[in-house]
Amino acid sequence: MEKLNSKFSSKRFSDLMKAEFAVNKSNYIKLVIGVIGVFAAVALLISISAIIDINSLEHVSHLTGRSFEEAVKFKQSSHSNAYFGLSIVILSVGLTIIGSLTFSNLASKRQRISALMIPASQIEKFILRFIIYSIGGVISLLIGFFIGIGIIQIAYGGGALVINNITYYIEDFSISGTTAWILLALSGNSLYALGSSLWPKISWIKTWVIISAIEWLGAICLFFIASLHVVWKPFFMYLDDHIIGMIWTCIAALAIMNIACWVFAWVRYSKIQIIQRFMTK
Amino acid sequence: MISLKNVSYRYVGSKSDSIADFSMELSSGKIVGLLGANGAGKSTLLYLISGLLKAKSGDVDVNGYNPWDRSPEFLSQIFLVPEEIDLPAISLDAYVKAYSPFYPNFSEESLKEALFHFNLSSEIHLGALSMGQRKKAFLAFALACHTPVLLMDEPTNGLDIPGKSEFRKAVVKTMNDERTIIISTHQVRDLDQLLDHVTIMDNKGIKLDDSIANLQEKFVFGLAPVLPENGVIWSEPVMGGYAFMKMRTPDQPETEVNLEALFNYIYSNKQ
Repeated sequence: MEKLNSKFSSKRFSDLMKAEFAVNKSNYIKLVIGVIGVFAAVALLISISAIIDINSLEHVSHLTGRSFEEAVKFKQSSHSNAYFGLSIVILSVGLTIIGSLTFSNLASKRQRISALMIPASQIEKFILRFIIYSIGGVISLLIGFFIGIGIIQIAYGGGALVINNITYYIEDFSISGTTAWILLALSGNSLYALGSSLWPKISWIKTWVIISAIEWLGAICLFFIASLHVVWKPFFMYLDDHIIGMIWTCIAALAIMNIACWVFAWVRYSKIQIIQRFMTK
Repeated sequence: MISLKNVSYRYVGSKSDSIADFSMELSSGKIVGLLGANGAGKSTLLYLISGLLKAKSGDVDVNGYNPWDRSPEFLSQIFLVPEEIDLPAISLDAYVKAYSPFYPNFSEESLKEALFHFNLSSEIHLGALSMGQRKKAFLAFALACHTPVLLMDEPTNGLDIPGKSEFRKAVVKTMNDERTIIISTHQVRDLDQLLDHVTIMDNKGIKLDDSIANLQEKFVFGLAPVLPENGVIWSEPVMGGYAFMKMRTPDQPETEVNLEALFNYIYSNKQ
């Protein structure tokens, strides 16, 4: 029990959390405001564009042969689709940016000394980072997303259409497909968190460069191997069925990758020393 | 009790050990001055004692804890004041509320006293202070934590002249028999009459490890217009004469230890 208490104590964890928020409160507030601001700005731009479009419909609806109501619905729907699509991009990129901040306060020797000397266990400090930059990151992005929907709903009544889009895509992709998409988005967060543990300074760019290099290298290798061993014939029509059959394998692989990234980040974090030339410079 | 046995450490990319086969033992109740030339490994030693670096070989033991385990119990018993401090831009009150719960012996009274010594109000905002004032505020917090082990790396760097004198007073006030304070510095004059033990090291080991009382018994330090004829083991020309150091004979009165002279003597003698 004493040994367990040495590794994790709820009292100490709560003190650690209070200290973290007392010291970095303004940074977290800025981050959340930034996330909400991006969604709100996109929602506002789309709303303005939708209102202008809808106001101009009266002049053109007779040309398309559609009724005015139909044309309005069509415009509302296309603008809501645009918000939904842009939100997916913001969510995905946002998760990588927030992930890359996980260990950003270990970038300098001074910062490492002050973080490592806090009398809490390494696992408590790590869990706190995971909660803030993974769970907290997802929550703040979702809050931003729904605030954007609220703005769209108030502006031209298109918020409900975005919600419809979400349910439509979930139905279309099925539960397994949606799970795979969510895990794919989360893997952006965990990969960049791992990158942040390896090189805390300008972490996002370094991780992006390395992931891109690995992707390109992998694609070139695959293409090279394929060109040697595969007889090319029109098999693409079967690809969809094949992928659907593999979806649970993909989910398992993505889940393992997410866990593996955090485990490697933990291994790296638990062994961090204040002076490590490699990876910290 | 702090004990290092045959400890070696090498920085990544370095061709030689920063500390090689280093051993030392320090009992509690001492204010130890850790002196050494640049690159002697003083800061490395402090980082090894506080668990911020992992020794390549050898054993480090601090009051029964292996520092590298970084257990919360160990960390609540040690405080490191690094040469360059990292303080958030929040009020001192918020800082104290955030971090004092981690230190069971923290005393609000001691903090107020140390702040008073440093001529700082308890209602300051850390973001609005000069570098020297930030250091004073951090030193006040470090002293008020009353950890059994307090390590300070160049604590007087950045302090003004009254600050250095107040620093000495504040350290003495918080000292007790259960506490070990290790001060690594080049500014030996700042530590005059504060230390009760001196350790002079280079990266191969300890060149001198003795109490101030013993050093006063063994050596005489002085200033004279003309260099004494007999028994001088070290001297240096200064304004108006010579600073010197000689072996003390029983009939001679004890003098204050001139740390700079002692350091130069030890470093000039390879014995």
